[in-house]
Amino acid sequence: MNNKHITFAVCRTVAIAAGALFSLFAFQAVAQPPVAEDSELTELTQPKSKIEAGVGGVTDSNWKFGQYNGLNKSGAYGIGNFDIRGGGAYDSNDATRWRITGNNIGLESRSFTGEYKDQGKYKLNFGYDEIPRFLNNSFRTPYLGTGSADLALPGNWQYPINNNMRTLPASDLPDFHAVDMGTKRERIDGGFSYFFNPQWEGQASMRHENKNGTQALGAPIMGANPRQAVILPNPIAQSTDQINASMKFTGDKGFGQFAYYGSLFHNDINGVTFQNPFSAGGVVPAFGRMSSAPDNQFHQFSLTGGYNFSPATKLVTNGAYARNWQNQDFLPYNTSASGGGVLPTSNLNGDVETKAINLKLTHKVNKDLNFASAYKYDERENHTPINQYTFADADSKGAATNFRSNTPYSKRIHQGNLDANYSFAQGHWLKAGYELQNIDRWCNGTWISCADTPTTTEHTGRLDYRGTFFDKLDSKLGYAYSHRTADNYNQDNALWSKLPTEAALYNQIVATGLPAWGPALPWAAPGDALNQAVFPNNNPASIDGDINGLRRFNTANRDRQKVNSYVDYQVTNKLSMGLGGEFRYDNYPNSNFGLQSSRNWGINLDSSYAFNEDTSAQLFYSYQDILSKSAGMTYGIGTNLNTNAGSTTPGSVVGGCYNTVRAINNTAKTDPCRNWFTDMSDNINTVGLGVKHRGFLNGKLDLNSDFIYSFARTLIGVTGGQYVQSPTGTAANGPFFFIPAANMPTVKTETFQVKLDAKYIINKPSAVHLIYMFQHLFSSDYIYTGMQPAGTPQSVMPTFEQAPTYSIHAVGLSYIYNF
Amino acid sequence: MKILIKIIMLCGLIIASAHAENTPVTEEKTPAKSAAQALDRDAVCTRCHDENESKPILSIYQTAHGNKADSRTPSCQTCHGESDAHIKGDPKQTVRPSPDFTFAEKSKTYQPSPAEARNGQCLTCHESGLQMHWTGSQHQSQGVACNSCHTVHSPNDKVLAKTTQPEVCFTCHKSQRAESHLFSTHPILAGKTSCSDCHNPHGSTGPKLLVKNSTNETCYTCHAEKRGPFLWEHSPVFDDCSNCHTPHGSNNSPLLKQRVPWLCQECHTVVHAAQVDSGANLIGGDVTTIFGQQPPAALDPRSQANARACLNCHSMIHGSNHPAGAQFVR
Repeated sequence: MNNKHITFAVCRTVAIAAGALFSLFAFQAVAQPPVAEDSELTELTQPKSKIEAGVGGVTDSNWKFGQYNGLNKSGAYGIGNFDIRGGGAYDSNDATRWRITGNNIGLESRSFTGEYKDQGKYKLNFGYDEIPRFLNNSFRTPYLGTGSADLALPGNWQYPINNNMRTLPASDLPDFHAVDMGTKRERIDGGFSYFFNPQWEGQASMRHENKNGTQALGAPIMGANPRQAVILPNPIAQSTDQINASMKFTGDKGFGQFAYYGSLFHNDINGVTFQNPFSAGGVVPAFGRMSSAPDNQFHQFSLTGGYNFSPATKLVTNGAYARNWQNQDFLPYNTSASGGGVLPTSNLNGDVETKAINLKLTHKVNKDLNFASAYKYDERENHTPINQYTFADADSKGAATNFRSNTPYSKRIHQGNLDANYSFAQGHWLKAGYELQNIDRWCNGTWISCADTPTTTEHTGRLDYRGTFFDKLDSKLGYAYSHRTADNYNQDNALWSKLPTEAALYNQIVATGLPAWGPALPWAAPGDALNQAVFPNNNPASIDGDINGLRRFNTANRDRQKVNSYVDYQVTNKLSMGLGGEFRYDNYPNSNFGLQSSRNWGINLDSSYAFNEDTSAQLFYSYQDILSKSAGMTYGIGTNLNTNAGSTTPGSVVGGCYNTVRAINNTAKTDPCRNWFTDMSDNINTVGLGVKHRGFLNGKLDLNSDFIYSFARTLIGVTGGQYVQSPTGTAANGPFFFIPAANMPTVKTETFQVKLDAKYIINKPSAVHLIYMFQHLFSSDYIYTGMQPAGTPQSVMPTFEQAPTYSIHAVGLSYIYNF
Repeated sequence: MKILIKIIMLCGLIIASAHAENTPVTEEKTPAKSAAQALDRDAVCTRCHDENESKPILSIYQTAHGNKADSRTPSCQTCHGESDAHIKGDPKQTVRPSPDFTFAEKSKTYQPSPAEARNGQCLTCHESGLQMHWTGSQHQSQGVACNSCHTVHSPNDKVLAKTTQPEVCFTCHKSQRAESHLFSTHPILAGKTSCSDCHNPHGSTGPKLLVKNSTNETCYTCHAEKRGPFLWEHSPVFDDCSNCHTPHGSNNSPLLKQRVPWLCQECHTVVHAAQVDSGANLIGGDVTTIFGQQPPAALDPRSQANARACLNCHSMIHGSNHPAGAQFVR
C-alpha cells in the first residue's frame, strides 16, 4: 500500500465488491422465500446478512501497530465487511445454502470466503486471504536493487577505514536508505465435498499461497577481519501449494478415512549476491552469495479407521506414510573464480521417508471407570546421500580449509500411554496415567555418530484430580513427573573426560581407531599442537569439539515436574471467580555445561459479573515467570591463549588464573576464572478489563469496551568473566585483564490498549458503528544499540533499526445494513 | 514397513466389516417428506419453546442443524432426548422435570447433564472426520463437553470464526491468552491465525492436540520453506521446532524461548560460542573500555553479543543448502 491511503486499488476492490453485492441483492430478491407472517419467527429463522461500509483513520504510522492488521500507515482507510447468506428456507424442500463473507476489504489484511452447498449432497467453498507482516521499517541499507537477487553498492561507496564499520566515512551515511521491510502472504483456497451416499463422502481442497517481500538476513563475508557481516535486505518470493484429498466412510459402528496430503514449495530465488562493503576485492572476495530455501515437496498418504466393538469399547487406528524430496541444483562453492573445488554432486538428492502409526483403545468398564491405552510410532528416516564437501569460508579466495561431510538426521519415536479415569464420587474424578517414550536418533551412512546419544528414554507418571462441589465450584489439581535418560551420551567425548599426560592422551586417541580429521587426513603429531587438536571445531573425534560436560538439552538426562490447578467458583448467579496456576520445572542433572534448569510458573485470576441481562464485566490478571539457567566456559579463548603456549611471563595474567590451554587441560579443564553462568528470565504481567452494555437509549445503543495492559521484562544476569589483552600489550606477554561479566540491560515491552465499540440502531435494518482504539507500545531493547553506527561491532554493518515505540489513535465510523 | 502394512490391513478390515455389517437400510425419503416429518417432531418442543422464548433457540433453523430438507439433521429430541417427563410435566411441581439431556452450563433452572452424556448425543452423528480421535483425547478425559466451546443454536458460533475463536479457547487456556499480547506473536489477535490452524481440539495423533503427527509437520503447513531436507541440517530444528520456539508469544523475537546468543550457548561451546556474552561486551561495556581506561574505539564490542548476535553470521540457522554452508553462514 502506498502513501495514498485510499488508493485506486482499494477503490477498485470496493467497487468490485459493491458490484458483486448488488448482483447478490438481486439474486437474493429472487431467491428469498416468502416471508413468514410471524415477523418474530422470521427474525429467528431466516438467515441474517450484513453489509458494513465506512471510513477509518489512524493518527500515526508504525510498522508494529499495523504488523498484521494492515494499519501501518497514518491516514484514512476504507472499512468494508460483509456477511451475506441465503438459500432455501429451513422448512422448505430446498437444502441449498450459500454464504459469502468479506472482512477488512479496505486493508492489506483483507479476506473473502464463499460457500455453496446442497446440504447432505455436496459443498463448494473458496477463500482468499491476505496476511501482511510488516517488519521494522527503520531498517536502512546502502544496497541498491532491493527486491532483486543482486544487491550492489552505490557508485560513490567509500570502503571503511581498516574494514571497521564503526568508522564509516561520513560520505557513506547518506547512502543508507529506508526499505519497506516485511512480507505478505496471499492465499487462495478452494475445495469441494460430495456425498456419494449417507455413508461415503469424498473431499478435496487446495491452497495456493504466494509469499513476497523483504526480510533482514545476516550475511558474512571474508575480509581483512575474520567473519565480517552485513545485514541484507533479503528478497522473499515463495509459493506453497497444499492439496488435501480424502474419502471418508461413516457407519453405525465404525468409520474410516483414506487421505492424501501434498505440499509443494517453490522459491523463485535461488540465491542472493551482494557486494562486499568492507573492501574492494583483491585478496578478499568482491561479492558474496547467500543461498535461499530450496524447492521441496512432501506427499503423504494416511489411512484411519475406528470401530466401536461395543458402546464401551472403541479402537481407533491410523497409519501414515510420506516422502519428502529436495533436488534443487547447488550453487557454486564460491563467488571467487579460484575458490572452492568441484562439487561432489549437482544437487542433494534429498529423500526423507516418514512413517507413523497410531493406535488407541478405550474401554469403559462402568460409568465410574474407564481406560485408555495408546501406542504411537513416528519415524523420520533421512535417506539423503552423504558426500564430502571442500570449501573456503564465506566466499574467501583462500584455500579450501573446510572439509565436511553432510549428516542427514533421522529420528524415531516409540511411545506408549496408559490412562485410567475413576469417579470416586458424584462429580469427582481421579485420573492416573503412565507414558513411556523412546526416541532413537541417528544418521544413515555417516562414519561417526551424528547424534549425541543414540537413544533417550522417558518415563512419565501423571495424577489428576477434578471435581465439582455444590454445583458451584469446579476444581482441578494435576501433577506429572518425567524422568528421561540418555543412553551413552556423547560416548566419544567421554574418552577425554580424565586427561592423563599428553603422550598418554595421544596414545589413547590413536587406540580408538578413529581417524581424527576425517577419512582422508591423519592425526596431528603429538606435541603442543595436540592440545589444540583436542577441541577444534571440526575434529569429529570430539563431536564438534564441545567441552566435556556439555549436554544438549533436547537429548540430555532430564527430570521434569509439572503442576497445574484451577478453581472456578460461581459465587452467585451474577458473580463468578476463577484462580488458576501452573508450574513446570526441568532439571538437567548430568549437564555441567549448557542448559542447567528451566522453570516456568504462572497464575491467572479471572472474574466476571453480570449486572443484569444487558450489562456484564470481565476482569483478568495473569502473571508468568520463566527462568532458564545455563553454564559455560571460555576454554582456550582469550587473547592470552591464542597460542597453545599462552603467556608464561610471571604475573602477566591479572587475577591469578591459568596461563595456557595446556595448564587448563591438565586440570581436567576446570578454571573458575573462565566458568560463566547465565540466568535468563521473563516476567510478564497482563491485565484485562471488559465491559458490555446492550440497550442504552431505549434499546438502540450497544456499548463494548476493552482494556488490556501487558508489561513484559526480560532480564539476563551473567556471572563469570573473560580475559582481554590490553591493546598496548602483546599477545605473548600481556598484560591481560580479567573483565568480570555484567548483566545485560533489561528488555522491557509495555503495551496498553483501550478499545471502545458503539453500535447505534437507527431502525431495524440500519445501524451506525463507531470504533475507537488507542494503543501505546513502549519497547526498550539493547539489541538496537548494536544496530547503530556508534554501537555496532567493527565487523557488522549497521542497519539503523530502532525499537518500536508509539502511541496511536484509530477511529472508524461505518454504516451497517442488515437484511 | 511390514508392521505398517499390517496396520493398513487392519484399518481396511475395520472399514470393511463396519460397512458390511452396518449398511443402513433406510427408507427412501424425498426432502419434502423429511422436512415435514422433522418439523412435526420439532413441534413437540416448539409449541412451547417458540419465538417468545427468552433465549433465541429457534435461531438453530438458520444453521446446518436446522436445515430440515437434509434428512440427516436432528430434531430437538434427537439431541435433547425424548424427554417424556419434561413434556408431560408434573402439576405438583412449579418447574417441569428436566429434559433427558440438558446442555446449558449456566442455566438457572436445570443442571447440565454430565459432559459425557452430552457428548454422547453429539457423537451419534459427529464421530468421524475431525472428531475421529475424540475418545480418550485430552479434552474428553478432562470432562470438556462439546457445548463448552460450541453454541449449536447460534448461527454465529464464535469458535467457528477465526476472529472470535481465540476468545473461546482463552476461557480455559489463560496463559496462552497472556502470551498472545507479547511482542513477538503469530497473528492470532489479528484474526489471521486461529487456534484450530495448529490444534485439533477434538483429538489428534500429534502431541498437544496438533493437527499433524508431529510438531514439525504442523509448523511446515505454513512454514514449508523450513521442511528441507537441507544439505546441512541443524539437528534441533529437525528434532522439534519447539526446542527453540514458543509458538503462542514471546518477548524474544522471533518467538524464541530465550535470546540469542544464550539460546545457542545452551548447546554450543565451540570456539567463539564458548565466550561469555554479557553487558561487559556491549558498546560502552567494560570489555570495550577496560574499566574506562581505554578509548572505546580501540576495542570492539563483541558481535556475538550485539544486535542479531549469532544470527549476524549464522543466519541460515534452520538449515542450509549451500555447499559451503556447513556452519549455516551461507
